[in-house]
Order: sequence, then structure tokens, then C-alpha cells
Amino acid sequence: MAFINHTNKDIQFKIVYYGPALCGKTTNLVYIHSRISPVYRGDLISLATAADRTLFFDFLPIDSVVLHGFRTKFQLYTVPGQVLYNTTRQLVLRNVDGVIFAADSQWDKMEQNVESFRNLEENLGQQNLALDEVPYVLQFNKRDLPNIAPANFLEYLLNNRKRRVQSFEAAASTGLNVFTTLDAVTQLLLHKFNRENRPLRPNSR
Amino acid sequence: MPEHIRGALSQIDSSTKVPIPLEEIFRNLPNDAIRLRDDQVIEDPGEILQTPFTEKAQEDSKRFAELGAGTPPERPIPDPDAGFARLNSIFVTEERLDLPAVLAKVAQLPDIKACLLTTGDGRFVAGSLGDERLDHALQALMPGLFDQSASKLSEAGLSPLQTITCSCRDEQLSSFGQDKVYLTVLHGHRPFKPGVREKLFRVLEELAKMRGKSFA
Repeated sequence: MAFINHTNKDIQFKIVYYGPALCGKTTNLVYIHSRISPVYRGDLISLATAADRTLFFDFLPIDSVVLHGFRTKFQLYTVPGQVLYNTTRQLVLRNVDGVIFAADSQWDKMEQNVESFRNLEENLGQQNLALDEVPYVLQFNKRDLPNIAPANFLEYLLNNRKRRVQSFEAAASTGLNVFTTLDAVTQLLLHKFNRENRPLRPNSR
Repeated sequence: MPEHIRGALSQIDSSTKVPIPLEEIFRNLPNDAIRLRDDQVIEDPGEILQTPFTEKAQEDSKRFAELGAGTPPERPIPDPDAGFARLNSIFVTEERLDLPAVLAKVAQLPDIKACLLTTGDGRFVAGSLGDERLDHALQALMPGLFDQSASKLSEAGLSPLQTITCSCRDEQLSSFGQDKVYLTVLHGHRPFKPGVREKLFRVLEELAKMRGKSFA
């Protein structure tokens, strides 16, 4: 749920990158951080082990100017993908406004993709949120690697629910479709916010 | 079915689980087997808004379209001749190498008795361990064993798996894996001589890069 601060005149949206371990969630944030002017973004805070495994979460705050006297702020988070950090994932998911589920396209990661997707649904359920009520999109990452499953197979695995969401083939290491994915989920959550609140039309920076 | 294979199959415990790579299952499925449900409602993204990320998304789309019509960037196709040239330098030889020659060179390394090159889908590429049944068994066994081990070790935070060694009473079998290509060597019961393990892995790295051009 977006956090509206009437004193500071800002609205905060929280977007979480979810997905199995080593699927490229942090790589998405690193790319976004590298492409956005420091004027509009804060530091990328990343707590990782020596092997570049996310230990707690990554956090990237982004500001943008908004009409109606309110400034929108986007907080981008990743969750640790490793199975044993489920409590952390539950914490990071609190008050989430939009989710990007990053799937690893490699054939040998399909089981982890499905497990992580189920875990997302379970963890949202613990907050009394149904996945179908949350703005989310799918990102099929690592399309630049060999031995990847075709996109229609990933659709079959992860997008075979009653509500079919947008999906994007991406390569976060090169930046392919990183912003397209983020833009898509941002549009969804702004539409939802507009439906539930007074109309809000953010301008580009 | 040839007699020698029939005999080998009769010894297999029928309760043994045989892992079949998902990729192989998918390849053999009929086209209409992977179908999305019929009652799906496709999410309408609604009126297009300008978000703080729209401009960057458009910039990136344009940039990647110029690079390759919007398709994900492909890895450059390795030049097999360049690969063999690097293998020449690994083996310190000027003779013209091809796959059988490379495998022959591997088998001549200190303490190495024989070697076999296979792929992740269980296909034979070159070489032999001197026993057809052993070759067949390793072709089938090694990809699953290696990949599952690599995955679990990676989850445990270990660095990428390079080798699995099976120690028998009189000899050892070591399998090296890289990008779904596996080089298995039969060697003596002692550890590798200094430098041999590293050389074997460098050879496999080059062969894995050349996969698709020099062998399918």
C-alpha cells in the first residue's frame, strides 16, 4: 500500500524484485542505479556475502516530480533468493505496492522458479494479500545465456493463472528490458493507486 | 537391440530413478502439449502513463533494437579455429588439432589412461574409456549427477563445481563439467599430477566454448 505523507507532501511506492537465488534481482538494481542520474536516486544499499549472494536485501530509492503538489518516491527492494531466508522475504514484502518476479531462464532453474513463485504467493497470503490483487509482472531473465527454456515454456510454468500478466524477456547483465519491466509494473501500480485514490499523473523527470 | 546392451539393461534395478533433463522432455513433447488455460484473462495495462522509468525504457529499447532488432544479445559465435589454436598452446604443439586429436592428447597426459567427451543431453561426442558399457553408463549418469551436485553446492555457497571424482579400488574416474559439456578421464588411483587437473579444465573450457560449431 502506497505510503502518503501529507506533512512532507510525498507518496512512497514500494516495488520488490522477487525470484530464486542468483536469478539476477540485484543485477537489475545495479543496472537501474547506473542509469539514473544521482540527482534523482539515492545510494544503492546492498548487503551481500563475499560470493555476491544477497544477505538481507538491496534498496534503491528513486524520486520523481509529481503534479498535485506531491512528490512520488519509489523504493526498489530485492529479497534474498535463498530458501532459508524466508523470514527476511516476508519482512521485505510488507506493504508492497508492486512486484517484479524475476525468473531464471536456464533449464536447470525451473524447479527453483516455481518454488520461488509459490513462496511469493504464500508470503503475500500471510499479509492477507492475494497475488491477483497485487500489481506484478514477470521478467524472464538471463536470455543471453545458453541452455535457456523457450519463453512459451516459462509462460506455461509461471503465467498460467486465470489472470495473465505481462512478461518480458530480459538480460539484466546487459540492461535489456530492465527498465521496460520496471516501467510496466510502475504503470500498473499507478493505475491501481489512481483507482483507489484521487487521480495522479506523474510527469517524467 | 544389440545383445551386449540387452545384457546391461537386465542388470539395472527397475526401481532406480533415472533423471531425464527437462529440456529433453520438452523437446519430445507434441507442439500442443504446452498450452495455456483457455479461460485466461489477459491483463489490460490501461492508459499509458509517463513514469520516471518510461524514458529510460524507450532509450534502451531503441539502443537494443539498433544492436539486434530488439532480440536479446547473443553471445558471439566462437571461432573453432581460434579455439583449436588455443588448444595448441595448451598442449604446446603445432600439429593441426581436431576433436579426436585433442582427446588423444588428453589421454597422453601423465597418469591419464583414457577419456570421454559427452554433452548435457547425454550424447557421445568423442573418445572412449575403453569399455562401451562404461561409456554408455557415464553418458547417462554424469550430466544429472554433475548438475545436481553443482546446484546444491552452489546453494550452500561454495564456488562453482569443476570436478567429480569416483575412487575405485584400482583406478579413479574424474568428470569435469563446463556449460553442459563433460570430460571424463580414467586415471590412476593417486591424485592428479601437478598441473594436470588445471590443464584438463582449460581444455574442457575451450571445448565448451567451441560447442555448436565444432560439435553440435
